[in-house]
Amino acid sequence: MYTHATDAGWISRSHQAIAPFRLVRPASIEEALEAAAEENASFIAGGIDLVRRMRGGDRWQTLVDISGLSEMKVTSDEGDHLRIGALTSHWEIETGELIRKRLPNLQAAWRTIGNVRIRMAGTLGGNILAREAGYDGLVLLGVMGAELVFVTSSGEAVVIAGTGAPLPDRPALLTSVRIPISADTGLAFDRSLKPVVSVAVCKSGDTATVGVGCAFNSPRYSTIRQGEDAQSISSHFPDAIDNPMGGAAYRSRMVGVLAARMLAGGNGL
Amino acid sequence: MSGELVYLTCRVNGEEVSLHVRPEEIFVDVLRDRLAATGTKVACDLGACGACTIIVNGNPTASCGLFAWQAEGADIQTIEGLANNGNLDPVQRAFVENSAFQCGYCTPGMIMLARALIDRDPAPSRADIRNWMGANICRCTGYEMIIEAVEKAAALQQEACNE
Amino acid sequence: MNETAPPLNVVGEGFARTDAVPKTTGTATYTVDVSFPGMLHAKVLRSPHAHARLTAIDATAARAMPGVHAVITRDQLEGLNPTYGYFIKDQPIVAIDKVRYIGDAVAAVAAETERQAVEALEKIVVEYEVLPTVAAIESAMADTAPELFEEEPMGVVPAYGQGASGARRLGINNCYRFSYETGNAGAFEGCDHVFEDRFLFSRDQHFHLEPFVSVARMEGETIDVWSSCQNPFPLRKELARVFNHPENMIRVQVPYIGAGYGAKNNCKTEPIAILLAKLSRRPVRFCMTMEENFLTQSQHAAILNVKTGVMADGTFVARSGHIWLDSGAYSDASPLVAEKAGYRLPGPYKWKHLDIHCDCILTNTTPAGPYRGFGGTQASWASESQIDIIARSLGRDPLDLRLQNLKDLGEAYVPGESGVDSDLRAGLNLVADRIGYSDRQSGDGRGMGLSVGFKDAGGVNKPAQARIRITTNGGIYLHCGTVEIGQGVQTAMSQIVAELLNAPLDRVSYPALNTDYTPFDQGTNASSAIVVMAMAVQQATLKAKQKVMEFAAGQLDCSVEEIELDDWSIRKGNESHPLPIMIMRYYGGTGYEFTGEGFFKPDIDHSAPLETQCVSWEFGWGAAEVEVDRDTGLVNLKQLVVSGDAGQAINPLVCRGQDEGSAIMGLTGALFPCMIYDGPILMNGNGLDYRVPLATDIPDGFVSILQEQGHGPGPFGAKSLGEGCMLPVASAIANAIEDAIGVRIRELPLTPERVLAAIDDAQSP
Ligand SMILES: Cc1cc2nc3c(=O)[nH]c(=O)nc-3n(C[C@H](O)[C@H](O)[C@H](O)COP(=O)(O)OP(=O)(O)OC[C@H]3O[C@@H](n4cnc5c(N)ncnc54)[C@H](O)[C@@H]3O)c2cc1C
Ligand code: FES
Ligand code: FES
Repeated sequence: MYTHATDAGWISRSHQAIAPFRLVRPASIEEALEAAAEENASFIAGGIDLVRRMRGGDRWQTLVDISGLSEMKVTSDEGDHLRIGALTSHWEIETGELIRKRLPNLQAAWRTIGNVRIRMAGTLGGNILAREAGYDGLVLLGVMGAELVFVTSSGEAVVIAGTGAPLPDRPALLTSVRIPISADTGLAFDRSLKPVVSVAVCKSGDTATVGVGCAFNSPRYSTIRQGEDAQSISSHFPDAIDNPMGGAAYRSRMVGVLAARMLAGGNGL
Repeated sequence: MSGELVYLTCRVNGEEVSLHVRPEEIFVDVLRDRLAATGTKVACDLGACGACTIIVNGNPTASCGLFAWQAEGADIQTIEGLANNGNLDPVQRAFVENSAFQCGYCTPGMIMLARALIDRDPAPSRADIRNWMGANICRCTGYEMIIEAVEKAAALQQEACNE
Repeated sequence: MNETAPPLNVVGEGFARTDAVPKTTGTATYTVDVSFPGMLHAKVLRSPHAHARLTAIDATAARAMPGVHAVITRDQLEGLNPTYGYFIKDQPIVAIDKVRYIGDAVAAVAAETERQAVEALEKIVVEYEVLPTVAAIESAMADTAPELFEEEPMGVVPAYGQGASGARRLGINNCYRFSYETGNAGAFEGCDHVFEDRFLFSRDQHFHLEPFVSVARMEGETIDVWSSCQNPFPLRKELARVFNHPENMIRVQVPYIGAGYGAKNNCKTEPIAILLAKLSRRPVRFCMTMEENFLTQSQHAAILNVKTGVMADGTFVARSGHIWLDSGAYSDASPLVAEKAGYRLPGPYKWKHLDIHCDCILTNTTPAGPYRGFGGTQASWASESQIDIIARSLGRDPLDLRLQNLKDLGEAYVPGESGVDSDLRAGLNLVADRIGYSDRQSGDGRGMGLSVGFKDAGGVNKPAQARIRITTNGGIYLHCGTVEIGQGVQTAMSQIVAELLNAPLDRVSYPALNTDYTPFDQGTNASSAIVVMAMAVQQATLKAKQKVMEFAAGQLDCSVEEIELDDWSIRKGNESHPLPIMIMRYYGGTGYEFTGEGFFKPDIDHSAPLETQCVSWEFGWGAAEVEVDRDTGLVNLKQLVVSGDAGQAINPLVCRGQDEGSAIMGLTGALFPCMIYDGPILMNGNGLDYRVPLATDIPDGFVSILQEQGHGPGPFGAKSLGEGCMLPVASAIANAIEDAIGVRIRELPLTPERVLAAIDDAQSP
């Protein structure tokens, strides 16, 4: 509910009631980190998530606009990895020539995100750092074992997606994501049951990683070995969210059904 | 606390616009309240429905979710800028001829969305059109007449180019 | 159509709509665009509790906040009649003694900016004594359920005709019951088979893109309110009562409306905007957010028990039914919806006995009100689902069974009613043929289903007035109170006028509605414009034309029979006489306007159950093809074929848009999650989480077929259209699902989880 609650009641704001803030437009990553170190500051990339939340009542004293940091927009081939800048828009991922060559399955999966307006304005970094259970970016990157490269005031910090390691607290800046090229061949994604559940699988050798979106408070992952009954993957996960939007039993069962289906298809173990 | 005003310069429908905006000011209000361009509408106010779609540097963009300062240096088109001296744009003509609207509240956004598609791809397939137009909500029409209008708009534009 | 009728020039053509250019260039003015110098912005504090007593409220601090010009709490309601509603006046402008749902208005502020208004609202202190809640129909009816209204609110039960009746407060939280009975109750005993089924209907929200919005100001002591509203005249009357204000000093103006689908009837934003304007003496704009729309109005969820008796050969004999509508926290239009849901439950079939009750049950949720289809959607869901259940049980093809029992063209719907004005079998065969019903491969996850959506149209005892003005140079103004809400009425009415005056369409203007000078209309609803208002428009036009002709005949010294109106000239034999010259010669150089008044109202008729016979019957024939994923329960809609009968289409493009738009609206209730409540808490009441169909959700196999059977009662044989095609969608899909996988689902929406649960149930021994 995008309403703002006090003890006395709910107030539904429009964008016209967004709380004032100070705008900082840094010219470098260092400046960005410095500005973000201030109390109650947030980065803003495409802004589509942040504006939505501020409309709902979130307040920031300072917004640090990182959209001008061109070094975070670059995609580069690093041999066994492709590095994609955190400011790359969904649209650039979907249409990028290098990505088409090196990560065609990821590119195809990425094309299913939201809609053209969202894909043009939204960025890779914003998708991940919005920390929404229903967003697809981290589900996909998690099964691929991508490296999320952050810089903090104390230097670079790499988090391997899908390991369950926590994302660093603000004001860490995600600069790029390094994706293992080898993971792409085994990748498949099914979002047909969103917003109840989404499932990504990535096969590598005789194991497959299964990632689940929407069903938990943040994406969850598990692995399954050759010979195991793929449907049993459901039991690897804790109890799913149980509410009138989707029952826990249904969500959990669908993890097995969708994963098994993808593994039986082109991505079979 | 209040942030300092930000100086914004951009082009709206071909005209240079410079003004001071509050950091928290949203671009759709610059259009509607400051430039008296009320054709762009707000509905969900969350980026979901696309009623507020304008074209920013060629990209269809929800103006309800865009801080005014994010438009710095941008080239912006709104529904008001399409018709040229009373001559409707091919997309507008197609929407008129096909009755691709009812209440009309989604229409400025739909037209801008379609305009951005045809700017990129002058001959989109029906599937491409359905996919692209899937970004915006129309609760009135059931969409088929909109999709047909976009097909027609592309054809009208081709015709005009060939003449 | 009769054989001597001259060919039509304007009517029947798919002209560009008369509102096309304003709406495609961004120049059409909507209420959201209305603005005045010094205008304030209203914001509302809403209840965080589903049910609570308001023990104290203190807005002192809010009044002192910067930019604040007026604050409303219950203390400002002194001297007003502060509650409103249709039959029952139970909804307060802001909470008085209790709050009854999450989102109920508690206080309102008008300030110079929205942010100032929000900051002031945050300073209001409210004490609540939380009460137990009832969030669904069954719990609200329980003996021990807490009552939303301990005392009976002021209200009426209207007069009904043959077989129909109404009653109030028959049980706990039961705010209204409509009943209808005809034939002999013993009829069930002679039946070979009796089927009893219980159906559940979920609630959709209108999701009109223009929010509830109004701008109010005081012009001296005249209340001037601009509103996105579909029944401005009844609104004016209600406002006059609420504010104890003379009706002639209330002006309601309605510019273009960003749709309503039924939601924009009666008081919504207006009382708060007006009261704030009175207190502040400044113009006040109250524009809700989409989240607030969800907290203001919805469709009715429903439980429908249907019992049907048939003979072994498939002949339908008797139907009894009991419907419970979830009315939400206030009665709103629930009694009217109950009338229609109950009256429409039989469907257009040949029954000997009917016995139906429809109850309105108050719950601690968003008030439910008018929604396109108006009870017919709920009724068609149950009725048309059960017909397939019966067919399968009797081993009959569902198409055949329907063809056997449908009413004939012209046959009275029930005793005392008018005859149905479409050939129902022709319509059903049409959609069945188009989808390929008889050649279908049933089972194996794929199947087809049919349905006949049905409603009475044209409203009940609905009066309409219209006025035509024709200027010296032939400019035609059509003044009528049907608001252009998207349905294309401006275009259709203008085409009728142009046809009758032998004029090109662009000579006709349709001024925006203003209750100060627009002739009366009861409201833009019930698919009534083309069969009720259009009759008044036709009469007004013909009267104006008659004046023109008599004037011209006098000037030309001949009889009216010798001349014809040809565009804006008079043709007499081979001569052509331009009217402007004639007019100025007689009336002077400043010119003149010819006028004509028109009126229409169905006669009162006590033998008709609803006191007037139905003006027109509206049908939507539907056929669906689905593929069901047995492992996930996902229903993949492959084809959806719908058809409505326009009688005579005044503008086929407009008709097509109505049929397709209503069908896709119906798809929301069928396959989309609808409003999801966790107890009394609405989980998805915003534009991002609430899913309505997108272009990408529509199958390539979606088609509408426009029929023009020619039997309508309106001008040129036109009949009601615009709601019919939403009615068959859900049942056609449920019927297709059973055809595909042999599983019957009686509860909407048909979400994957629900479909899978039904598949599991069917498989468990
Ligand atoms: C209608 C709609 C549909 C959508 N559908 C989908 C969908 O199907 N699948 C899906 O996955 N997503 C979907 N989204 C979400 C969308 O992908 C994200 O909103 C978008 O990617 C956010 O990007 P942004 O740059 O605008 O983020 P911003 O709003 O700029 O930022 C979001 C958050 O991330 C932080 N942040 C941004 N960049 C960085 C960085 N480099 N380092 C550190 N912190 C950072 C910000 O501080 C903020 O907290 C949808 C959104 C909408 C409105
Ligand atoms: S109003 Fe901007 S996307 Fe809906
Ligand atoms: S025309 Fe009304 S929402 Fe699209």
